[in-house]
Amino acid sequence: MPETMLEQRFSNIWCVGEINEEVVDKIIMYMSDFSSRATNRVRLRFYNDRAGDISYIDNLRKILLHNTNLSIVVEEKPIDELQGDVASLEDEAVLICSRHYSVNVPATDKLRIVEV
Amino acid sequence: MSTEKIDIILTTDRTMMSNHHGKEFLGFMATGPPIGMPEDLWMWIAAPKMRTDEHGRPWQAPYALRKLEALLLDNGYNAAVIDPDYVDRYLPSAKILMLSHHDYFALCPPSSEWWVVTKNEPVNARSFKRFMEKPTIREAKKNGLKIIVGGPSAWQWLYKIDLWSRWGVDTVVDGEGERIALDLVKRVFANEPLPRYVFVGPRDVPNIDEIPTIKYASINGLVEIMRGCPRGCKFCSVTLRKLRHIPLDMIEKEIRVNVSQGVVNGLLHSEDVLLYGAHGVNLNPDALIKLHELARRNLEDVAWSHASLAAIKDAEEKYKLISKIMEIVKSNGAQTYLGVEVGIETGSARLAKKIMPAKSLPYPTESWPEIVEDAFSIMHENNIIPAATIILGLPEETPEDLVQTAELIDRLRPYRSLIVPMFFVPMGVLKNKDWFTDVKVTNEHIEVMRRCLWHSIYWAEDIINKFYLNKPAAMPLRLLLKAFLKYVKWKGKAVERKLGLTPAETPAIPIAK
Repeated sequence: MPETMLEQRFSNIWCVGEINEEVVDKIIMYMSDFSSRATNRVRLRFYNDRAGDISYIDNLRKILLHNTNLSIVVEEKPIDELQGDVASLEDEAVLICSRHYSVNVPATDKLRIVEV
Repeated sequence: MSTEKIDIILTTDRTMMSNHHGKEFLGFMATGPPIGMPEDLWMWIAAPKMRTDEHGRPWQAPYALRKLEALLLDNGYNAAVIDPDYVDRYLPSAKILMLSHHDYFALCPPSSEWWVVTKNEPVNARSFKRFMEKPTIREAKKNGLKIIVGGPSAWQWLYKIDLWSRWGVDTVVDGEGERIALDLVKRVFANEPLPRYVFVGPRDVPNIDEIPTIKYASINGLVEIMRGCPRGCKFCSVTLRKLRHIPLDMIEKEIRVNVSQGVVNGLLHSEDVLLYGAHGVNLNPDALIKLHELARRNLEDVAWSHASLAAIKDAEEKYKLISKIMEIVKSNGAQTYLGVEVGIETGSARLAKKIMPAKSLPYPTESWPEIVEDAFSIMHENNIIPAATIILGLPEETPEDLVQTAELIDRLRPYRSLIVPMFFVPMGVLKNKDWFTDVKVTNEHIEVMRRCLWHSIYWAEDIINKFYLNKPAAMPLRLLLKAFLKYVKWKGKAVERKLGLTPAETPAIPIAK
């Protein structure tokens, strides 16, 4: 039976708010940082309050097409799950927040918050 | 498998779920729009309906779907490949619809090229859209059906977000599916959310022992002999994957699955068949002989999917291997030729050095045009019929590169072959580059394209009459294709007149064989 993929360790990049060019640039920056790490896997998670809205993929295309080395998983979650996810965070994560979007998350040393 | 209920339906549209009359190359017609005939007739030539059993299970199905089917069955799931005409029967109670395609939206070569040249949408994209617009799929989505799409053209969904959303596709998977497929299926069965997109990187491709053996017949007996490719061409996505050689016993098992189900011909699939068992690009004659003896023992007719021109030259010059392999292939007294797809890509050594520096190995890239000529000559002498590709619009391409490509095509005229020009589509490490169709088609591109056209028309009739469709049963197809060739010839001349070009349809003296 093959190994599973989703249960492996991933580097996490979470995003909140509008996915504009600045956010995309930040994602690229952290992804190139992660590409030198042993996991070689990145989970991009987008928190939003519009279920099923995938228009953010349009801005993400550049990143996804640029990548050849990392395994990437893109997922969406409702914004109201962010606090719980931060509280139960096991691996390190980078949270990229659009500066027009106010987020209130519990402080933890596993989460680096980057405002753009 | 229950006849009433299937939890996981694996399928695709008609252009993929067809054996193309047992002639793989005819499937390429599905990459074009209907030209000079009604769409139904075009579809009948390119992608006739597949024979099915009473449950709608196709006699032959795309290899990738067969692999997934085997993986899911081995892991205890109620899954089956179903012909697209029969999916309605199973959709109301299915949990997952899994789709695979070589070219969902006709954005890959050569579809994109026919689209640009004719200004008409190719039939593969039309057929896929018709399939996805089925009211039964829409209805099943409302009842919780999950749609997971994959295959070599999965990246195209990134350009079709409106349709991704409109058709309710839950997950797009780009890359080899063995490890991720079970993850996704488990999540559906556990009512857990699915990821929106997955790219399977080199770290997560399966090892040989994780790759299942197909349980039912693949289209035209295709069996994989390798995955990945060591040549590292920048425009190719296969080269990003780890190189794996499938063991002979596994290849034989799959061939026997096909033969036991009446598919007596076989297509050995690799990006470079001659690198089977090789160490890097150093050929392994013993492995190749054993592979072809195995294929000869089990099959009536053997074909290759792809081979590199450098390996063809190297194999013959170092080991007389092409002659030896063809002796084995012809030893049943019935098979007279072998078909294969090869990549010329460019006639410019300069450009070759930039985009495919290892494609010429073990020879230097500087001699790329001579390698191409030598390999074509070897193939001609050994009754290997190549369908060759040229890539137009590669990054950093100059008019001088195109002139050299046009000159090379002229020099290839004596060798029996088809040459198809293709527009550059960003794949492999070049996949983030600008799309060629955004770039203007130059006079030099037109020169290359019309040389390809006249070269292929020149040889097509010979190939159809003497090799490809020479059996009496193929007469209706033969007549239709010959009529089509006449139409293309007439149309080509008309376009040349309109553009004020000197006719390029100059005769050449074929090298006697």
